[in-house]
This record gives sequence, structure tokens and C-alpha cells, in this order.
Amino acid sequence: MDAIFGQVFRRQQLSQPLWLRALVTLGTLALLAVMARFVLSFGETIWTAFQLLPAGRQPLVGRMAALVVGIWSLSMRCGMWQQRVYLDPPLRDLATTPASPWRILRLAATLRPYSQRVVAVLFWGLFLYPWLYAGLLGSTPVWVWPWLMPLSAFAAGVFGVFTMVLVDTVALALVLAAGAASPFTAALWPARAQRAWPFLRWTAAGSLNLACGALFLLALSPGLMLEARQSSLGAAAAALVEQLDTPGSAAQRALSWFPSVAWFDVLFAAGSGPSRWAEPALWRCGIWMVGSMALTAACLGRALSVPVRAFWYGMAEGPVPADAASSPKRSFDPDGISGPVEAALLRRVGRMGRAVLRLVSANFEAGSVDAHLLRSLKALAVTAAGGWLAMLVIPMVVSQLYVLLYRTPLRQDDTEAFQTLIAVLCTIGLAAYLLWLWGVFHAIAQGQSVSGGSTQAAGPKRSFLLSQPAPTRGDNRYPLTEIYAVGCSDIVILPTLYVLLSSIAIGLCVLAGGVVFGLPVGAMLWAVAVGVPVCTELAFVAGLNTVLNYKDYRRSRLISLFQCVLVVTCGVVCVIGLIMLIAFVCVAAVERGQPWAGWLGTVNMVLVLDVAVYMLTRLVYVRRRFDAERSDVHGIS
Amino acid sequence: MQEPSAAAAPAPEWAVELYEVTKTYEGGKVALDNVSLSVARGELLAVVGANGAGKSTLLKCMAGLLRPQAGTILVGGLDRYRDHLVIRTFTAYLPDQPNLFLHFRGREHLQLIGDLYGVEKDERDRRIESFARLFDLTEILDKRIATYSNGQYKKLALAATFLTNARIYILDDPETGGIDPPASAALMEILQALRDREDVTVVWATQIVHGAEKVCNRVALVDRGQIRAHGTLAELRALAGVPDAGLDRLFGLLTGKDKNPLVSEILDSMARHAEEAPRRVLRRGGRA
Repeated sequence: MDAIFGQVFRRQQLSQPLWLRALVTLGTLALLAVMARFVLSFGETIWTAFQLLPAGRQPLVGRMAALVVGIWSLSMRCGMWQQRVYLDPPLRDLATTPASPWRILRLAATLRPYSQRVVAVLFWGLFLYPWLYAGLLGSTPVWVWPWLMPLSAFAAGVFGVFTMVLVDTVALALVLAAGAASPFTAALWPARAQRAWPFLRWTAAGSLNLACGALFLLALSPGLMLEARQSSLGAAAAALVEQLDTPGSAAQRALSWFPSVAWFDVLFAAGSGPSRWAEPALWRCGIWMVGSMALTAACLGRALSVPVRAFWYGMAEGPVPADAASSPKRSFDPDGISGPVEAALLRRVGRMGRAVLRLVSANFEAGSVDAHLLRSLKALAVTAAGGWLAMLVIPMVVSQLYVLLYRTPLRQDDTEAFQTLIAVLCTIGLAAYLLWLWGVFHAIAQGQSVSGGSTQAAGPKRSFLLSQPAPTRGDNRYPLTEIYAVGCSDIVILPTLYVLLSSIAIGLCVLAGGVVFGLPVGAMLWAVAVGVPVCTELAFVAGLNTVLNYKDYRRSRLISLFQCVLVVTCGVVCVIGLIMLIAFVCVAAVERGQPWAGWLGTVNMVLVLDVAVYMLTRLVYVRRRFDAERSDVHGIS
Repeated sequence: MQEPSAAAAPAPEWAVELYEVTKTYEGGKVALDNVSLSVARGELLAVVGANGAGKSTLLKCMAGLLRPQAGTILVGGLDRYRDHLVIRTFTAYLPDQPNLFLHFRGREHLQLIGDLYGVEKDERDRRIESFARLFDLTEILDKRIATYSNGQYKKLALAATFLTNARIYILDDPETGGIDPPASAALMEILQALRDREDVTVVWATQIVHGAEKVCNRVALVDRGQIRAHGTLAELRALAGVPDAGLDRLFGLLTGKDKNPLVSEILDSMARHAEEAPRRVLRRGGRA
């Protein structure tokens, strides 16, 4: 919440008047209420769609969804606990104090009143509320119905809390077990393997998530995209799904033991599912809880001992003297030009391109343009899986939605239009996937500060997949764009071209992977043809946003607030209008049998809008910079 | 897990001993090269060196945060890494860039550190108030650490370190980090008081040589991962052959960095390009 309002009310270091704090609080509560309503509606939609599935498909679909969510959630929580217990700099400093492992754990597990966990429990409860309400409605006598809402709310709260507790308990046990083993295993790893481990972990987790997501949607609607199912990968996935659906099979038993799947079984039994599932599922959840606690207790002393905690001081994530950094092994030279692509970009686009590239490369840990393009090829496994997911999964979603909406199956004659629609949706999925990889750019570029060269307090802040430089304790009023003579084109155009080239490389990887797996080439080409411009557009928008969040010297915070609301509203209206226009053009082009004309028309429209927005942004940037310099000259702070 | 006993005070003559310690970082950087050093009990040793000389690495090895590739480190006669549980109870380490829990209040952090070191509650609270007055933290003690300025942050870390009543203090650049002159003077007074206590040993890495001259018993000069010289000021002056030299001059003489010709080179270069550089920047990136 501070991050949201901090962007509007820039002078955080001054004491705010009471009315402003009341306004901020009111705004926060209003935002929470809107988000809560959204989550509730989302839950209603999901559970309604779930209940519309054939009764025989519901268990498998629900379990696969729980598996996907569980893998993602566990991996995120493992990363969080690893950060809290080992990598968090304040806890690292406590390695020299007599703090006992139990004390360390208590400090790491401190739940702050307004932490994200509390909000997450609230949202989980809201998400589960519709399902539990419907379940209680069908299973309770009439005299209970006046009390159904509070009972459902209470049950949803309990389920939400237990969901968080289960995930956190298992994740903490895994982290501590890994920590207890780390000095022994790490000593055996060669240095290169240690450096490759985060990438391998990222690739494996991403691929696993994607594969499970694909299986989930294959379970959701098994009878579509025959062409894709005839590929080797599609056939293997279908066979696996069949095994998972066979009662008593080894695959189904293994699936039912996964923590989130066991928890889903409890939830399912509490709703419309068979009540006989409840007891075994509760036993499995209980075994996970008790087993995790036992593992935590067993590993706590060793995992949080001084040698292990101090070990993390020596890891790559720990603080290392600057001159001890292995500069010869860095993948790029910040002061050099790594290859012809980078040389061309710097020559033609970025006047201060070297400084901007250094900023980008420091955040991505990837270095130069050429080096990063080559690294994209190393993500072939993940990108191929992503392409497979897009091609196998999206058509099933579309088809199922069609059936839900129109109550008739899709005709084979509509294959061409359907494939075009699939391609569009595929690219949205691919764009979202790539956005996840590139999303850190904007946030980090915005978070840079003058005094942020050295890490005053926090070390690298880890998400599970990417290491993000933590916000520093310096004065956050001065992003680097205020210090260096960085032009608008340097901030926007150069990184956009950078993303374009990388997206093309990744897109070609997806295409190659899809062909290898026997997926339809035509649809894969469409996925790349639409996905690459979408990713580039997202990077362009992120760059514009970075420029627009330049220091605003307006005196009135209210004006700043209303200005932001106005800009967002206008932006949303423009985007909606653009989407409608694009849809109209694409549909018309497809009806005439010329889908590529629709693609070209869309690209042209977006380019025209981009040029207009870029010129407007550049004007704002120059004006604000001029205002800033004028204010400084006259001693206005 | 059994809590270590807090009564294990260092009894031997030497509080901290390093024997042929070598620490190499990944990539081949040798931060400490066969370093041998002993710090007597009750002594205040100033570790002086240039940036990147290895002072912080030396202190981190003493604190047990880094494990050297070779050599032995004894603290209070105990092996640093085997007996770490006991050693932690009587040593306090202040890093050059301390990390505090930003969501804590200042008072909570001091209470935490006091509890960790077994300071009794009443004594702990009394010390908190005393250090808060000493370092001018009273007004902000009940505010969240995230709102502190850099200097206040460092002063809080200083207060937390001295609150512990440890027997061995390992301080890495405590006077830097933005602390104001009154706090710096208070720090010098504290160090002088600790120097006068026979049961307290202080290892102090510093770049403020003038302060070290006044306060320390002995000095160790570190350069490129090696101890070039160590001893009292008189011994170092005799070694350098300059009877009245200050510590800064002694450092230059004993490490071979007495004259730095690069300074005049840099100044000449800056003067030559003073007019040209802004024009080049404006040509390249001055327009949006």
C-alpha cells in the first residue's frame, strides 16, 4: 500500500496532515473493498464453472487445478522462507549473536499486522466462500439457512487460515531440511553448478508448473484439438491424464498425496463432493502438517545453527567485497559492447544507451543485448513447454467456454476461425508468460535511487525466479533519470528494441519447440506473430510508465492524485477502445479469409497510437525535467 | 537445544588469535593472505587499512561469519568455528553496514539484542535509556526503524552493540555511516572507557586514523590482505624511522604508499577536461 500511495504522494519524509492520512486510509479501505468484491465474484465464477462440469470430471479437474496452484504456492512460499530465514540481511547479522534457532524462527515468522499474509487469508476466505455456501445450502436443514451466511463466512475463514498454515508449514520444513543439508551438498558442487542452480531451479519449476497446467486443462476438456493430441507430447499427456483419472492407479494415489490436492479433497467433500473423501483427505493433510512440524523440529537446530547461517554469508547472495567479485567471469562488460546487435542499437538509438544498458543489465543479470539473446536459447525447454501449453491448453479453454456459452459443441467447419482465435489467445498466454519474465524491468528501473549504489540495508531481494535488487535506504526522491542526462528515447526506445529482439529469439525457440513436439506449425507461427508484438508493446508501455513517474514538483498532493486517476481512466478507455477496434478488424479480416491483413492492420493501429503516446510522454518528461531544474535553481526543494 | 552458558569468559592472555589465516573469495580474490595476529586481553587494537585492504574480511573471520580456507582463529582460547555457541555469548560484532529489522521500533530492536545477550530486564531498560540519551535517539526510539535516517540507523546499531556488555567487541568502521559529531565524540569516549577496562577487548577497524591514534593501544596496518606492521605507535614509529610521524604517515611509509602520484595526475586531467565534458554530455544526451 505504501508503494501505491508513495507514487502519488511524493514527499513521504514530511509529516502528513491528519486529513490526508484519513483520506489515504479511506482510499486504502475502498481499494480493499473493491478487491474483495472482485475476489468474491471471481470465486463465484470459478465455482459455478466447476459445478457445470460433468460430475465425473470434477474430481480430476479440481485436483489438477489444486496441483498447479499448490506447486506455484509452495514454490513461492519456499522462496519466501528461504529469504526470511537465511538471506534476509537482519537475520544474517544475527548469526553473530547468541540468538537460538528457535528465536531466529520466531523472528522470521513475525506476522506483521498489515502483512500480505493477512490480506491473503482474507482473499482465500472470500474465494472459498461461494463454494462453502453452496455446500452448506445443500446439506443443512432449513432452520439453519438464516445463519448460512455467517456460518459460511466462518468456515471460509477457517479454511483460508488452514490453507495458509498448511502451505507455510510444508514450505518451512522443506527450506529447513534443505538448509540443514546445504553445507554438505554445497561443498560437493563445483562452482559452475552452484551458479547454474538458480537457473535450473527456475527452469524446472517453470516447466513443471506449465506442464501441470496443461494437464489441468486437458482434464478439463479432453476432446479437442485432435491435431495437437496426435503429436507425441499430446498423446503422452492424454495417457497421463487417463492414469490420473483411473481410481486406484499409482498415479492417482501419488496425486492425492500432494498437500494442496489433499486439501482440495477436503474442500470438495465439504461442498458437493462425496463425503467419504473427507476423512482420508483430512488424514493426509494431518500427516503433512505433523510430518512437516516434526521435520522442522528435527532440522531446526542444525538448519539455523551459526555455521549454516554464516554459510549463507559466503554464498553468492551474501555480501561480498566489491573487489572480490569475479569480474573476469561476468557475462558482460558494462563498459564494452558485446556484439554487433548492441553496437547497432547504441549507434542508432541510444545516445546515453551505454548508461541505460548498464541499468538494464544490472537488473536482469544478463548483460549485453547479444549475450542475453544467446541466453534466451538456453531457455528452450521452458519456452517449448510454454508453446506446448499455449497450443494444447488454450483451444480447450476456448472450446469449453463456447460450450458453456452456447450449449453446443464447436463445429468442425469453424476450424479456421477457431484456429485464428486460438492463435490470438495463445499469444496472450505467451505474452503473459514473457511479461512475467520481463516484468521486473519496470519496477526496478523505478526503484533506483541516488544513494542506491551500495546496499545500505537489504541484500538482493529474491522472488523465487528472479533476484531483484532490494530497495535501498537512500532518499527515494531521486531516480537515476534525474541525475544523468538520459533522454526519453534512451529510457523507452532502447529497452523496447531490446525486448523486441529478445522476444523474437524466444518466439523462434517456441516455434522450434512446437515443431519438435509435433504441434501444428500454422498455429505456432500465429502464436509467434502475435506474441512478439504484444511483448514488445508491454515493454514499451513499461518504459513510458517509468518516464511518467518522474519527479513531480506539484505542490498539491490532491492534484497529483486526481491527475493519476484521470490518466488511468483515460488510459483504460483508450485501451478498451483499441481492443474493440482490433477485434473488429481481426474478425473482419478472418471473415474475408485474410487473417494476415488483420494482423497488419492491428500492428499499424497500435504503432500510430504508440507514436502519439510517446510524443505526449516525451513532452511531459521534458516539461517536468525543466520544472525540476528551474525549481532547483530557485532553491525550491 | 541447550542454550550456551553465558558465564564462559575469556581467561587466557590472548583474546583473539589468528594463525596463518588465508581467505579467498570465489573468483580468486585473496582477501587475507597468511595473516597472523594476536590481540591481548584488555587491549584496543585498531586495524587500519585502505579501502579493499581486507579489514572487513579480517573482522568477519574473527566474528565467525566467514570461514577462511586456511589457518586457525581462536577467540578467548576457543576455536572460532567449533566453539561458536560459547563464543557468541561474549562477543559482539558491528558490521560496517549493519542490517536491522525495518519493521521494528528502535526500542524493540535494543530490547531484542539485550534479551539475546542475557541482559536483565531492568538493567537492559536502564541501558537503553542511557544509550538513547548518549546518541540522541530518545525522540525516535519508539518510531519504526524504517523511518530513520542513515545516521540514526547507524547510531541505533552502535547502541545495540554496546548494550550487550560483551567481553570482545569487533567493530567495523563504527564511526562512518553518517553519524553526527556528537555521536562520534560519544563513540570515542566509549572506546576510551573500554580501552581502560582490563576485561574488555576491542578490535576496531577504522579509517579515521586521528581518532585511532588517541584511543588505541596497538595498531595493525593492513594492506592487500596482509598485516604489514603491527604494534604500538612508538614501535611503528621506530620501525618506520620517523619518531614524530602520525598514523596516516606511518601507514604510507610502512605500506609503501607514502606518496600518491595519482592525485596530481587526476587533478590535472580534471582541469584539462573541465570544459569539454559537459559539452560532450549535452551533445549526446542533453535533449530528450
